[in-house]
Amino acid sequence: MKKFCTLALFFILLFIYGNTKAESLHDRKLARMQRNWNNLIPKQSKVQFAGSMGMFSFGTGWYYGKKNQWETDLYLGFIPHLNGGEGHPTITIKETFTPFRLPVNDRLFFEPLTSSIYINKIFGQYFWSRLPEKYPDNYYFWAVNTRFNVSLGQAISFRLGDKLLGKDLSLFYEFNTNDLYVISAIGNKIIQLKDIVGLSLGIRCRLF
Amino acid sequence: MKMAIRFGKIKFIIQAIFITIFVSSCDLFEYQPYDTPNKEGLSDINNLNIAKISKNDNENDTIRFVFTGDTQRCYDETADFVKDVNKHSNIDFVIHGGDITDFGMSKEYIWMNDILHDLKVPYVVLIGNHDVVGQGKDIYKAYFGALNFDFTFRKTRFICLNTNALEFDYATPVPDFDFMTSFLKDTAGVKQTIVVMHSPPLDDQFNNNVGLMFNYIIERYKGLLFCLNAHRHILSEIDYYNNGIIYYGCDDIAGRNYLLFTVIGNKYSYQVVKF
Repeated sequence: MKKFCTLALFFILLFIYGNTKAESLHDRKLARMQRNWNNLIPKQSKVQFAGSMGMFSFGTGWYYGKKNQWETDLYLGFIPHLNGGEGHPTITIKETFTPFRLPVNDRLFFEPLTSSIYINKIFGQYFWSRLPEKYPDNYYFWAVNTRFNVSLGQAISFRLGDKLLGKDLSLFYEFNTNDLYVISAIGNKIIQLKDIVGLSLGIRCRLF
Repeated sequence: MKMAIRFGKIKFIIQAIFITIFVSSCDLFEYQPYDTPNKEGLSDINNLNIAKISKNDNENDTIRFVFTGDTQRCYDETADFVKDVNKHSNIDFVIHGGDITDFGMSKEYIWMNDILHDLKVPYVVLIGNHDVVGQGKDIYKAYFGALNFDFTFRKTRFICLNTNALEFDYATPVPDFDFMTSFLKDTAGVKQTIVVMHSPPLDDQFNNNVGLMFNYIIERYKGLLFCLNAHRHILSEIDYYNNGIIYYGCDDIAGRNYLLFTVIGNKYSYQVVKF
């Protein structure tokens, strides 16, 4: 009888232990899942003026990497009057790499080099991505609505530490060019770098 | 490793940024490659040049003009072309047969016009199919003017037509018969006619369904001398409708040659000038 009681107790304990263990495993699974989904919550917002992606573009995105040197942003932009005509919306996906972030003082940082590649798409009647059926094959080789851009720029960041405004606020500028401008400049001495670059200005706000 | 930069340096950098922004002004801010920035001297270019051509109009019956086209992405070659044309002293004007751009973007229009602007003689530019792509046709209208236009010099009327039918839908008539027929009765002060177009008949780009009507009108122009076309990137001399009306096609500018026409009275000749 004593032997049986000991055995029963052992099994009960094992059952309780097993249960708690299962619970903690479940908890951990849940926590991991929540963490993964939380990573999808955008961590920053951007507003950009010009840059071949619209007059104003509003972006939301993420920063990540060991030193937070990578950024991915999705923009929605608009051009109020294209050629004095109707307005057009644009979308942009942009990847930014910022190798250095130099502290100036406690609240101010300087990013001496920001580099980005971005793909911009404009919507409108005359902007197609695939050659319309009416044309003979390979009549035009480029997608009129899609531009591949590269840009280089600089930024200054202010640490806010303010729960109302967010973690930090940056001002940036960029010089950009696109695939068709580069193709046009290749083989022509008369077309120089200054002819194919544009300037854009922007504000970035990191919320947390 | 953290590097500290003195605030003075930052201040200098910020100042430099703002100065750059203000000095370079609006030209650098591009909303979209097909957007037309308002640039001074970049509107109604064809009409302004036609006014310059008309200034030299007189009773003389000799006309010497250059015909070229399809300059597209060949900026260096076009600059050489301009230098070569400027060497001649007796040319009255230059006609560009279209495809002034490759992608129809506004920067391309500006780059090419900046080069053509160095010509000592007036120039007119027709619209080519590449110039229409995207919102290119609106850029052409903003910078150069109407898609179809004409001018008369020394009693010879030059009718410049948009024949890039494949690029347009039915809202824009290509070729525009209303425009074309308007010259049939209005022949005051005109002794002969030369028709200029980008795409020639029978091309993929041309509306071949209306080719017979197109030819019917052209046959009836007063003292028709010949037609000119670009687009095919090859020197050619073709009688498309077997009616004795010759279409002279120019090479592209990459071929480094252009056509130099001399019209004396109702006789004409041309030579291919290599540069």
